[in-house]
Parts: sequence; C-alpha cells; structure tokens
Amino acid sequence: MNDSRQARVRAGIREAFRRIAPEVDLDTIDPTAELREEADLDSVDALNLIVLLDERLGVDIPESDYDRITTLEEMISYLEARLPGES
Amino acid sequence: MSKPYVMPSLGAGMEAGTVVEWHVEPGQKVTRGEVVGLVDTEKGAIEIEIWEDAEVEEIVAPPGTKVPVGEPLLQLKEAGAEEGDKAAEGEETPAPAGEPEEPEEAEEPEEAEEPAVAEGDGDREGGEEADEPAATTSDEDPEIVEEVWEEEEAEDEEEAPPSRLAPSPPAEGARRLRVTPVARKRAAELEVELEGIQGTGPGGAISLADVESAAGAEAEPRAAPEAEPDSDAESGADRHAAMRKAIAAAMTRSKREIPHYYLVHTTSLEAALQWLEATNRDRPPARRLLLAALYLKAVATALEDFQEFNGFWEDDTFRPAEGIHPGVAISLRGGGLVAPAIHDVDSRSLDDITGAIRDLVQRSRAGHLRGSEVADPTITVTSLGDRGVDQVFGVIYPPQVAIVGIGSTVERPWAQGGMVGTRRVVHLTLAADHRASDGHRGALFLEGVARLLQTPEDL
Repeated sequence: MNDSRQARVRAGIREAFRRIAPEVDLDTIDPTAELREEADLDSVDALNLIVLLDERLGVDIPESDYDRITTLEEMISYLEARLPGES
Repeated sequence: MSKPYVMPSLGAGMEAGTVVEWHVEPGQKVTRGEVVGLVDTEKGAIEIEIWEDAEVEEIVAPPGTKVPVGEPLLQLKEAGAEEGDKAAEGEETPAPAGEPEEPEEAEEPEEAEEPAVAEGDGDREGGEEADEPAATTSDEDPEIVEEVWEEEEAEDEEEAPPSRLAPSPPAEGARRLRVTPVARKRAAELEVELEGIQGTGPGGAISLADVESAAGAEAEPRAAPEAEPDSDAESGADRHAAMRKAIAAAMTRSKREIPHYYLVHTTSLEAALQWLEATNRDRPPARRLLLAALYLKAVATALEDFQEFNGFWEDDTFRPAEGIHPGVAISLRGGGLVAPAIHDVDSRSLDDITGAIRDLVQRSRAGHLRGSEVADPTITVTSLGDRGVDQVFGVIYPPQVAIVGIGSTVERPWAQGGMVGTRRVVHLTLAADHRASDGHRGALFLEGVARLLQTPEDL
C-alpha cells in the first residue's frame, strides 16, 4: 500500500492516543491483539478515540463497523482504505 | 469589605491541600464560578472555584503552601455596589463567607459552568456545541466561557503537528506506564513523550518531577510560560501514596460504619441498545450517545421517587441531597480512582450527559477536575462492565448512602412469555446503607431503573 497514506493514518492514531491515553506506547502494542484490552480503553475512551480519528483524519467510523477495527492492525488498514484526499 | 477565600473541603476526610498554582493575581476581578487556582489533594490536582464576584486583594498562600481546610488562601474584596453587570444577573446575591466550605451548596454556580465545559469540549472535539440544549446556557457567564475557551485553545496550540508525533522513539520500559495525573497534564503541556521517561515514583510511576526533568533534558522550546509548581508538593510518589491512603481511609470507614445491603436485578437491554444503535447510526462520532448516559439518566430519574438513596448519612441522621449529582467512578490509569459528580443529571438531556461524561473522563485522567465536582456527589454509579465482569457490588463512599453498579452487557438465554430466546442483558446492583433505607425500597428503586431502561426514548 501507499506509504504516505499509512504514515498519515499512523500519525493520526498516535495523536489521538496522546489525547486519550498518553501512557500507551503504540510501538509496543501487539498489532493483532484486542486494542481496547491492550490499551486499557473503556467505552468512553473508545468513543473519544473514534471522535478524534474523525477529526484528525476525516474518517467517520460508523458504530456498526466498530467490530472491524478491534485490533491496531485492523484499524490502520480500515482507516487507510477510507482516508479522504490525495495520497 | 474584605474577607478571606478559604481552602474548600473537597470531600469527606480532607484535612489540607497544597496550592499548586494561581490563575489570578492581586487586583484581578473574579466572577462567581470562576476557576481561580489549582490545589493538590489526595484526589489529585483539583481546580478550585470562587463562589462570588469579588476582587483579589492578596494571595495569602503562595504556590507550594500546604493549607488546612478552612484556612485562608486569598484575601478578597467584595465586589462593590457599582458593579453594573451583577445587577444584570438578577437574583444573584453575594454568597455568605462560609459558603466555600459547604460543598453541597456548590450546585448553583455549577449550572453556569456546565455550558462552558460543554462548549469548550465541543470546540476541541468539533461540532458538538450544536448539541447542547439552549436551556442550560440561560445563566451562562461569558467570562467563564472565555476562561475555559482560552484554556482549550492553549491546549490546542500546544498540540504538536502530526509530523512531529510520527517518529516516536521506541520505549524501553513497560508498555503500560504508570503516571500521575499532574505529570500527565504537564507532559501534554510540555509535549514530552511519556514513553521515554524513567519513572521514579512507586512501581516506577512517572511523577511531575520526572516529566519536568525530561522536558529540561530535551530543551523543549515550547516550555509553558506559567510558574513551575513546587516539585516537592508535586511528587508523584507522594500523590500516589496519598490517593491510596485516602481510598483506604474512606473504604475502611465505609465497611466499619455502614451496614451495607446488596441487591441485584437482571434486565433486558434490547430496547435500550436497539434505540441507541438506531439513534447513533445517523450521527457523526462527536454526537453519538454513550450507553453510560442512559444508565445515569435512568438512575437519576428513578431517584426522584427514591430520595432515601440520594443524600448523606451524617450525625446519625439521613440528610437528603437537594440535587441529583451522581458521582461517576473513573479509574485512573496510574492507579487509584476518582468519582466526580455530574450535576443535575435528572434534568439534563442524554446529549448533555454524554458530553459531560466524556469531558469528565478526559479531565479526570488529565488532572483537571474542579472542586465542586469532587466535593458533592450525592450517590455513586460504578460501571465495571467495560472490564468484562457481570456484576459489581460497590462499597459506599461515605457519607453517601448508596452505590449503583452496572455490569457488562452480556447475551444470555432469556425466557419471556413461555418462550426462550437470547437477549442482551445487564446486571444492575445496588449497595445501600441500611440505616437510611430498607431492602424493600431498594428493590423498588432498582426495578424502577430497569423499567426506565425499557423506554429509552423517554429518557
């Protein structure tokens, strides 16, 4: 896939995490493990994360897709595929 | 006339607090409800508010000073009769000097403050302010709004552009860092990556001093202009130990003094969840409702008919609270928990409550809680459901008399009308003080909460 799109997605996720859970180091999170468990996010954190991703990346993730982004890996590819604008 | 502004009591058992910083200076006019400073307590750093219009005459307790509850922090000059804008506020009269010591009196100025919080949040999250009901803005104080907005803007300014965040250094230590709220806040201000910092607190917790020394080492050009808080008063180790001690004292007192009784009620959540799913389907993320808001509203609405669960047991008698201000138990990732209040939940919309919960969670973890929020919850609602447990039986936070527990949403076989199907259900629990209420009423109360959840559109 396109490297710069993925870099934008990763930067957006990193920035969102800095707001909701700054102590979580995304680099050491198992990308295939349940993100909410790995990062210890409750439902309020999870909503705040979705809001921040929408704000930073312009991707509105509907509730019905929440189970498609349960891991960091899934979240990155989901966002990468839907990122608006030029790559 | 001159009078002192004293250290407020921010909850039962608090003896003293340490001034971290002042947001005001001598000669400055302050408005009722305005946050004037930050005080370090065993509950973390709490923003303290002022309860009347006045002018700051003198700062009695400079940052770093430990001040007992009830002792002077500031010397205030009461706003004179020539203050024109006060007349515009209508019924507002200067509060009696003793008021800051009475947390239960704090609900009034809070109304003025909520819209500011919600709008500040909307500013940050984008588009949310359109959501806030106009009713709550009627007594909104423009100066408070400005104050909060400035704060939010400052936060946004300090936000690093994404490119600066991308190349994060890999961490050497544990993945889940222990970090104190004040240290976290400071790290965000100074744009220090917490991952790289070696914590010196208990269990390797990162303290404020750690953050500041890391910031110094990085020679950050964006160092915040505000005065450096006294690092001794701010030690993360001390704070963590103090919070643990405060929890220990409150819970020990609770189990020693309060004759708890426990009830559990299992109810179908299908109606609530289907309504919530349908409602959120058409909404952008910033306007989606939280299930937690439905629970809080249901509890608060049910409490209107069951006042014996909403109030305080003091001096061998039950004193019902005047408003319904549920404390929401929020765990802090560095360890410990807080249960700040959301005010007047029974009269607020689900949108409004959702905004308040989101704001409170974010501020709790960043160490931005306000005095009135930590001082005056009238009941506690705890939800460990997110952590996967079916049921939670709480320990009452004295002098409150009840705690409602919300379990996970779980799919279970469910018999109804002679048929067995599956339903998403939740276990609602109540731990209540038997001195203030009896199990019969407790059962009716829980059933009332469950019934309200069956018609979410009416909440």
